[in-house]
Amino acid sequence: MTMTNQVMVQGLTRRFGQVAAVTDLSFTVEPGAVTGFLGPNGAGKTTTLRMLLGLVRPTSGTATIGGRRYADLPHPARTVGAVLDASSFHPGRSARNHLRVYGDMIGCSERRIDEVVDLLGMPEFADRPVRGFSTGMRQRLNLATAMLGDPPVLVLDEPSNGLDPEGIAWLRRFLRAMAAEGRTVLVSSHVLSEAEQMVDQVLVIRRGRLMSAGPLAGLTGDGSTLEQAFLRLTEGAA
Amino acid sequence: MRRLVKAEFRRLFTTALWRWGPLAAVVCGGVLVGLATLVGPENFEPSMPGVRTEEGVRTVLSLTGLTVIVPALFGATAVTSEYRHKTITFTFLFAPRRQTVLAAKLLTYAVAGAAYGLVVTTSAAVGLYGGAALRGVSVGAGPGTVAELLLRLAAAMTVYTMLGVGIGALLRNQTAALAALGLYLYMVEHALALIPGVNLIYPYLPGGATAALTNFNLITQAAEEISVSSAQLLPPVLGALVLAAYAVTATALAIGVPMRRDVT
Repeated sequence: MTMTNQVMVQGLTRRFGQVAAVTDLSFTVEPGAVTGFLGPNGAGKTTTLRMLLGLVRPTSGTATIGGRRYADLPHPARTVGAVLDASSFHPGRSARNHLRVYGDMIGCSERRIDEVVDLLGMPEFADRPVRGFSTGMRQRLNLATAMLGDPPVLVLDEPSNGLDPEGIAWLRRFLRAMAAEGRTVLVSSHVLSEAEQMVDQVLVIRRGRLMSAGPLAGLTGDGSTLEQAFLRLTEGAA
Repeated sequence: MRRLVKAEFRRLFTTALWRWGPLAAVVCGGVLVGLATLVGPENFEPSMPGVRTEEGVRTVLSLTGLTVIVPALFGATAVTSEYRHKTITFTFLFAPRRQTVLAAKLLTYAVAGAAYGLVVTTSAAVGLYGGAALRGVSVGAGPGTVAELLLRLAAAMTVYTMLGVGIGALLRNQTAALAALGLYLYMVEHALALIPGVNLIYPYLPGGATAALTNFNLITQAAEEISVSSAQLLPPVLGALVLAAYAVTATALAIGVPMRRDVT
């Protein structure tokens, strides 16, 4: 079995003072599918993803991509493309210049900048300052930044937040296409009805602990919606 | 590292901020020195030697040394702006070895700070000779002396820009950096310089080292009038070294402690 693009979390724990944000979390995410990382707000999704990417230090446990910690990857941004904030751009900088700055950091050519601008459907607004961008345009720029290094792994925190139905449909197609190319796609969401349309595999987390992991069909196979299945899971725990 | 430095320069030149740099430099250099020359230090309160004396030339040029907070704040924005707009998340994702990001910023802003310093001092020279010519006064220092003093000031501007990068990385917030720099440079240090006993360490504080490097300081002069035990400034080269040590310390602190902090 290849470890190359597998995301693996083992015994991951993070406490903020007395508050346990994530407790002994273990799971794997395989390539070639969209995996939903689902749970209510405050369940520990963001903390987990930030620990996976080396932005937050775990209290204990490990998180690896292809067997290595993010910071130990020889080419981190060419291995994992990540979007963690809804908007993390300088308002006065154009989208294209934003992409050029980060392209510079990993040695992207101007051609690659053009490619991601086309891939994310941004040619009309790429040269405008980010200041005036809609939520949907910002999300495309986020994904374009993540795609600069053509990474085999995508990690996205709440990418559908604030998108209109058209934007969500577009995002679904994009994620499906990425998984179909064999990439590992890990997407967090607290909106289960949206996630249901988007993912193949689910990881359900609540209060920092894993509640369920497996194919979506395993949870919704009895004809219930993901939301009903989720409520059933969490009631059982309460 | 070359890629990161290239990215930093692009970061710098793709927002409007850098366009204010040269303007600020001309105001802090040419305009300030030009006005001081036109008014004449002999008309200052208290009266000082005029620009026909070498001391007067030093006084007028060294006024630019009072504006070191401008390049320091400029340097601080290198880091604080990334936290403010949350671009720091992408930056650390693209370069998880965070010390390399800071090293690239220091290198970039050392160059930018030197450029700023050269605009300040070049315009200051124009202000001095232009102002003196307008008043029909001869400049009481040779071109060599003027050039040396200006180069020292440009060096101080460069070091303060780098200090600013370190302070920005420590505090991460531009308002906090402004408050800390302003309070320190214009209040705390001056207060220390006036306290007998404590003022012995003044030559080793950033302001004292700057005064040694630029060979002039209004505050130590004022202190001398008040307190006989006013401390002797360091030789200029030592002053430059002390300042450089502060920049290195700020950077080391910024790399060692806060750059390990969680980015949430």
